[in-house]
Amino acid sequence: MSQLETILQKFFGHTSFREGQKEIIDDVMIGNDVLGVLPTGSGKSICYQIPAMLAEGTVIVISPLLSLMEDQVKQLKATGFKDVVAINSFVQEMERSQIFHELSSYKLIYLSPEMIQNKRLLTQLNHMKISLFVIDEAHCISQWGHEFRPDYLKLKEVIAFLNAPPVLALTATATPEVQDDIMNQLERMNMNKHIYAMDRENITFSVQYCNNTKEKLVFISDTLQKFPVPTMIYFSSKKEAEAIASHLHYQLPNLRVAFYHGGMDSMDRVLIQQQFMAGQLDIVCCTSAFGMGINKTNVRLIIHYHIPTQIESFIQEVGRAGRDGLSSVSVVLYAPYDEMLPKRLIDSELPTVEQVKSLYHFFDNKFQAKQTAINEQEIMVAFDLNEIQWRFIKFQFEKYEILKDNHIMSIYEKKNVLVPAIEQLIHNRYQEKLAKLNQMVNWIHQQGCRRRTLFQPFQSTIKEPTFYCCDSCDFQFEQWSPVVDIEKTNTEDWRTSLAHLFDQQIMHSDC
Amino acid sequence: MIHLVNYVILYCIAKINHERTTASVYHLLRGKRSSQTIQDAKLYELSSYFGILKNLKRSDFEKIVEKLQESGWIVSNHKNYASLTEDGYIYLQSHQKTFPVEWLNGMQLASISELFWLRLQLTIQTYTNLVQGNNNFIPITDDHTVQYWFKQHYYHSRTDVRESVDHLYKELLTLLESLPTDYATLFVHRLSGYQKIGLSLYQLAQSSHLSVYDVSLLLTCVIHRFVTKVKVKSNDFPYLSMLIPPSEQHVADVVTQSAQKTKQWLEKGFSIDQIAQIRKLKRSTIEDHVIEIAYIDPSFSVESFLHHQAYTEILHGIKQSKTTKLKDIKSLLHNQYSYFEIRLVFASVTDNNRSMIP
Ligand SMILES: [Zn+2]
Repeated sequence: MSQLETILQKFFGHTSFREGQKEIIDDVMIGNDVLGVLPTGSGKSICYQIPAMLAEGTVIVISPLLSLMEDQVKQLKATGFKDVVAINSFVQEMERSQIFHELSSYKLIYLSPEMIQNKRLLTQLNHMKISLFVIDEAHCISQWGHEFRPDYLKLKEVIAFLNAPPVLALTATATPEVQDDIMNQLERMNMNKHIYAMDRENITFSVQYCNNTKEKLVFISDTLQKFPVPTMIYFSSKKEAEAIASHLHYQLPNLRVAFYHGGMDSMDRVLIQQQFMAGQLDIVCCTSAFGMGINKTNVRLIIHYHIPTQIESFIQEVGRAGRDGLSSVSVVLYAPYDEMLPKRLIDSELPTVEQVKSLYHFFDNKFQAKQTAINEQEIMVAFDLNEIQWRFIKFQFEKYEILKDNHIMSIYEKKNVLVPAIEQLIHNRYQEKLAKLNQMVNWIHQQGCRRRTLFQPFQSTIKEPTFYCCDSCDFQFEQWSPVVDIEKTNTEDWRTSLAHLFDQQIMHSDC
Repeated sequence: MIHLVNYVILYCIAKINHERTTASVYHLLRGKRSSQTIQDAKLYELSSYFGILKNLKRSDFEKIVEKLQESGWIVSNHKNYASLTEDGYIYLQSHQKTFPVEWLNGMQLASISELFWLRLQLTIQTYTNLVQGNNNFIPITDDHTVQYWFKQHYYHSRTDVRESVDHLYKELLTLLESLPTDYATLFVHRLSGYQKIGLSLYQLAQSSHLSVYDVSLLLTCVIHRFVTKVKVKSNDFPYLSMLIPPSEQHVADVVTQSAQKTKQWLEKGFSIDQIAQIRKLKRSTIEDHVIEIAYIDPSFSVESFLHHQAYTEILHGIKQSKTTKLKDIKSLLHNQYSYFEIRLVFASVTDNNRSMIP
């Protein structure tokens, strides 16, 4: 066994690498810049975790997914790799300065894109040996990507400031257009590309047309009755995830159902996630907040109760099925007017022109009154902006130098330039998002092979399916015969349960 | 269905009876760290309810209050001052024995028992995994201070893992056997460990046909009872005793930061006026701090601020006046004593020694 394989076995419990992992690690270890496109569930993170264990110096990972960061740190610590830390807005001030204090002792540092703007942190990193700079979810840097994050555009400068270490950009979904844009934005046109196909042979695609919500519910309970397999049901709304979970709980007493969303407290989130991984739960009704850190191999069925806003997130969510290579199915439920909900979601991701205008006036007045410091929380409340909307505006205002380091700069007569420019931008962004949604909706309505149409924009060849292809080609639910490996846990009385937990003999007191 | 949370809120409103807004009940249950809330808790004999429902959402609280109104148990004016109706009192009376609210001791235990509970869950999870030879598990709590505590504890205890598991089991079993089956079941189902992930609050609520807040409250009742028992009989629970944080921790958790600074100066022997001068604060602010400390710190002594005779006279006055209005008490005592002195005596009297509210 090579050194890499020994580490893989010891820390991750796998005997061999998955497609792409070893190639990327080898390339990164000799100091090349790499762009890696690996499908969800292929273990992207191993591509930088192993170099972090081996290389001299520190590996920095930029990730916008805070919960994923936290999950990975926990999992690494659980396996015995302790020199790892995540610094993000969850970390309290006091703990943060403790971490800053011993920064150079870490081999792997996860950072949110906001955090890397922190001057003190940057200065300290500048004095350290950075062996690799990883940009996770690298498609966020591209305006053509499905989750553009303005913060990511600043990474280029950060990398330069940190003495230009080698860069590894990773993503699960990027069209050739987005791939080029990533390299463009980073000004590293000579990155070695490692692109792997996103389609998985064992996943079957289907769409179920329903006339209304009631039919959706009937379909779900009938299907799960017939196929009691580990299932994730995706919702766009927390409320509905809860409501349907409770409905299914009563409809399917033989299955264990729970819900999961970002609004739950942290211990309950950990519990549900671990129950699902440990096989104590069969069905999770969830929002997209669930699943990022999920390492469960036998999810057999992914149901989309609401249509996703774009193909890219759909592919990522479906990618959580059948990681063990066994037959798994994706079903998208569609009822008339189902496009309305994602449209509303898109609206909520952009500010209105009115909000931009009134914010401009607010800043102008503040500046003239010489009150230049801003409080982001207060602004978000006062102007009824959510975090995504505020991030959008903030980035634009910074670009036009109206804001700098959370201070209002002189505004003068920028209004005539700024407002129409932002208005145009909002309009364009809205159209782009709408186009993405339409792509998704078209996919639902088209008659051709679902697998082919889904993956065509991303790759030139499509793999041969191992089981069924899709409902246009060969699939009908009646024919499906998935491996059913649900274990039934017995409900025990508390004494037995406690004794089991503590590995004790149960005393029978019935004498 | 009877809801424990309804009972608790109704009880608090009965005690406060029109003298404060219902929002004060919300702050009390959440355990808000403010002098006002802490003093109210003592004043209205609601100390045991302080901080017992830290996960209560404002919107849910308001819904419950609305429901109590619709059920005809409370009436409130437009400024959110509420009081109980006759039906409300009857409801309280008839459900007195349904819930183990007498186990609660919020002001003294809320933060200690929360920490104890987290430590206990992490300890159980870790030991039951280690005893089966499993080192790969994700800690049940994200709280870094609790994780740090466990590392220290594990390092220093140096006992055999098997032995620790057996001890822990025996001590827990003793405690659980003193509980009604329903409560013991809730508690055990919440625990996580080797090949057993605990149930979420929502799942517990579902399996026991209760509301999420009721489950939360019942668990709190159970934990408070456990902590009380373990503290009183530490010889019978040597293992669990190690999981209870020291009382200084409790004071530090509840008292406001500013009051804590005052406490440090007091301990160095400075007077109230001196501290006010040093800290560039008003005397009345420092007095507020002293009152706050008096309410929370069980080791606080009023003697350095008040002669014994003054203390007994004021106490007598309080008992005679049958009111909680400081102004009335002051005039009853012929304005001989300051508000500060009267409040100090209030703070030092335990709930059980007073019973002025119907
Ligand atoms: Zn097909």
